[in-house]
Amino acid sequence: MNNPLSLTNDWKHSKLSTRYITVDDLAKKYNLEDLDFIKIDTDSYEFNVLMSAKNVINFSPVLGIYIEVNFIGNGNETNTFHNIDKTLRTLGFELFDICDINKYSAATLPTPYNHVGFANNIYGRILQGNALYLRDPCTLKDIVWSLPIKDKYKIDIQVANKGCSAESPKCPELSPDKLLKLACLFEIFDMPDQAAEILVTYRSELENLIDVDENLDILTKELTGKDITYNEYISTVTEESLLPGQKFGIVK
Amino acid sequence: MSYTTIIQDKLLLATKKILYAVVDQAEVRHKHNQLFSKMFELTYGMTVRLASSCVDGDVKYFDNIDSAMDNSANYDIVIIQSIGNFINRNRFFSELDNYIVNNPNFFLLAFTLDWQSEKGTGWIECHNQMMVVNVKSWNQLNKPKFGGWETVTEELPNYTRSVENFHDNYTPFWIQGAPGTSTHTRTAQGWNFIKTALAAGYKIDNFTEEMRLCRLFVYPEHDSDNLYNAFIEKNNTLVTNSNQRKWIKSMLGTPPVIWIFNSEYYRFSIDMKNVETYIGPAAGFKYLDFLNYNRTGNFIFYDYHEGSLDWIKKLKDTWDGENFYQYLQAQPDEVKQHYKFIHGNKFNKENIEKNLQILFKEFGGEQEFKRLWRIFKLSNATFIKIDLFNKEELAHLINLTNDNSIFFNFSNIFATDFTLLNNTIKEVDDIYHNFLTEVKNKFTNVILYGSSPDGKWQTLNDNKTVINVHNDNPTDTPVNTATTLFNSMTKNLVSKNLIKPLTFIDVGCSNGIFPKLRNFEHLLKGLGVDPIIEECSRLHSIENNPDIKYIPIFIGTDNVAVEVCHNEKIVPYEGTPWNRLSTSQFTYIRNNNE
Repeated sequence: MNNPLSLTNDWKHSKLSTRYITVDDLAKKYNLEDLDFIKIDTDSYEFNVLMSAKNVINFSPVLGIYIEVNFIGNGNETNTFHNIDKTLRTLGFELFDICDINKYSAATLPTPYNHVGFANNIYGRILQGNALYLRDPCTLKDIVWSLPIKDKYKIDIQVANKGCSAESPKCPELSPDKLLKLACLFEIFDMPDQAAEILVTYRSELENLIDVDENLDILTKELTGKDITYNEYISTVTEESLLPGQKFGIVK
Repeated sequence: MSYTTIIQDKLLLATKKILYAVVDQAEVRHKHNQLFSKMFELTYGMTVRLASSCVDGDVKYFDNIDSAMDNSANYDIVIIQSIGNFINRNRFFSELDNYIVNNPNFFLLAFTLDWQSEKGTGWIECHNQMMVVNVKSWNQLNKPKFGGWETVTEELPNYTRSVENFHDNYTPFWIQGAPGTSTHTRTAQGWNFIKTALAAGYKIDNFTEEMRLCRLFVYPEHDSDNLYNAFIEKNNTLVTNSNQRKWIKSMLGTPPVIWIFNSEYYRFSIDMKNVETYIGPAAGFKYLDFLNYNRTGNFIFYDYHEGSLDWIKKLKDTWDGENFYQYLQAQPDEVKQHYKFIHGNKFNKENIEKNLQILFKEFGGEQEFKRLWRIFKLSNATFIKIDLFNKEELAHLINLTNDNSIFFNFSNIFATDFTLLNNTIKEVDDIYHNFLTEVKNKFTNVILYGSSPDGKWQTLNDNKTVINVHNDNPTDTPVNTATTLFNSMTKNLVSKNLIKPLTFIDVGCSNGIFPKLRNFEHLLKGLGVDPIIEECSRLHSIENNPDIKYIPIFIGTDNVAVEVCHNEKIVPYEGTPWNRLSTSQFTYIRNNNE
């Protein structure tokens, strides 16, 4: 548990609690058994915290976990990316993003610090970051084609789980309410495409809750910055023109 | 008692019924009526703002402390302030909360002065300027009267006291009743509160150093004529009392400042889609939030201080979004002298970085902030020097645009100490309502955002008023607000209550819960967890959402090794999303085409 990165955090002047609890017990105590999201940033104790949350992660089921990871170190119990990644994929999550990557430069040619204090540098090797794991319910269903292309171009898109071993953990079945919250999580983590995929793939399940087309239009508008519908946008992606957004002048 | 109680009960003070009693114990009203009026307006007005924005309670005036306590039956806590006492930092309440949590059965928290130790004569005084009384304990003590200034020699309870003092030898940290009595001549006020409490064995604490730093008492009963003249003439040399001088100087010594950063949240958390023009004061970077909803738009900046307008104009024209400290450093001294910072008052790299980190975090990261800044540099902006209190100037401002959909940020202009100093409460109220009427009459669609004179931060939109709890205390780090590139669908579903509340646990919530989650408010519910007790208490005190609690505790399990061993046999998920991706599909189509 002794992580050199934690040297940059100063708790020694703070009055600290002396009590311990697991996330599972905390969720039970505060009636959060239907937990949707966990963020963990505990300066090298993340793996331990994660291990304390396994019941609630499985049974809620939790939709997303945002967790600080280290890209150094080894051992089965340390807070390394490989341990966390393996654990969370074992629990049926997939990695969708790694954000806020902290780089540290060699002392031989030290580069400026990003912030005041001896923390991460502008250039250098990656030592730390935040990993975003979310459920991927679209692994469970065949994808419905929505692009206006001729049948001859359509591929037989198999569910992503096909070919997995029987032991391979799958994304759990999610209720429509959970699917909708997950779509929102995808959106706020800057993946409107994944949000749209849920709306399209689970259209029939979600239609009792929301106007799916209206929300696809909303996602399209905020992606493009143009007042166009989802169908208008998609209709421009044809077998002749495979550059999304080009017609509307949307460039990187 | 641990701090857990605060968290479980939310802020403990927030669960108490509070009476804010403004009193004139020293009878300034009989000495100098005009000074009394001004002091009353200031203490009362500032307290009303505190009760609106910090800890809810009833604010009432009483001629004296006994009258206040006689009317305390329906309250748990009475916070007594004499006129001329100004609580000027919200932090006072988190300090008080800490105190009450750790001393639930206290009777009195006050300025207690031990003259016996200082002079060898006299006894203990409880100064009337400010005190906090626990009504339950007061009742248990059979509702003692406060005690006046009369000189009486009698048997008084023995007491022990702290060795340490705040200053000199008459300001002990605490005093406590001891067995027996001794003969003393008491001459000072508050003796009966003290006498009764000590006889019952109570420990009476003095206000802590942190609490003392959160307020100022100007002793209006002393040198009243000169104090009033000094106030009218804005001349602090007319008074000799150091607190009076400090106060007059603070009135004089508020030169126009350039707010480099904002003291409030940077995000309005208000949907500004379809707004054509943003009107707001020339300060900080808060106006950039408009660009989160509109990629094009007009800005109108107003301010009474020309230097602030010049600053935003110059920043817009000449700052490229990089190396802010160097940019600030490179400005001429006549500009630099007006800089005003929020987190850290001094102009140095460390404080700038601290402010920048908060700025970046609220806007969703440094890159996102820079993106907004680039858009802002290309936007239309008009700058106008006006005073919102002036009717003609206000008319000039609102006639600058022909757009109909306006966002008008009036910030806390109608709720500052400066406003109260120069106007009566009624005058400020009249001006405020005239402002609202004029703006609403001018524009078809207008969202008004700011603080009413009584300190309530609110959004007024088509006659709907939403009260926002708002952190305007420069010493507090704001709770993080929603920051994200994409949130329209989420906001749409949340606003229509089409999704169930998102529940979360944020382990390691120091400096605020994960900001993106705020996009789900008002359908956001969960826990922030951090082992740092003070941080949990601070976050709790500035949290707006009643469904978010902060728990000061460590999280963990002792079974990691067992779990890992157990998991060894499990295969992680093996699937791949590749065939669902546009790159995969489009490549297939292209290859088929060829």
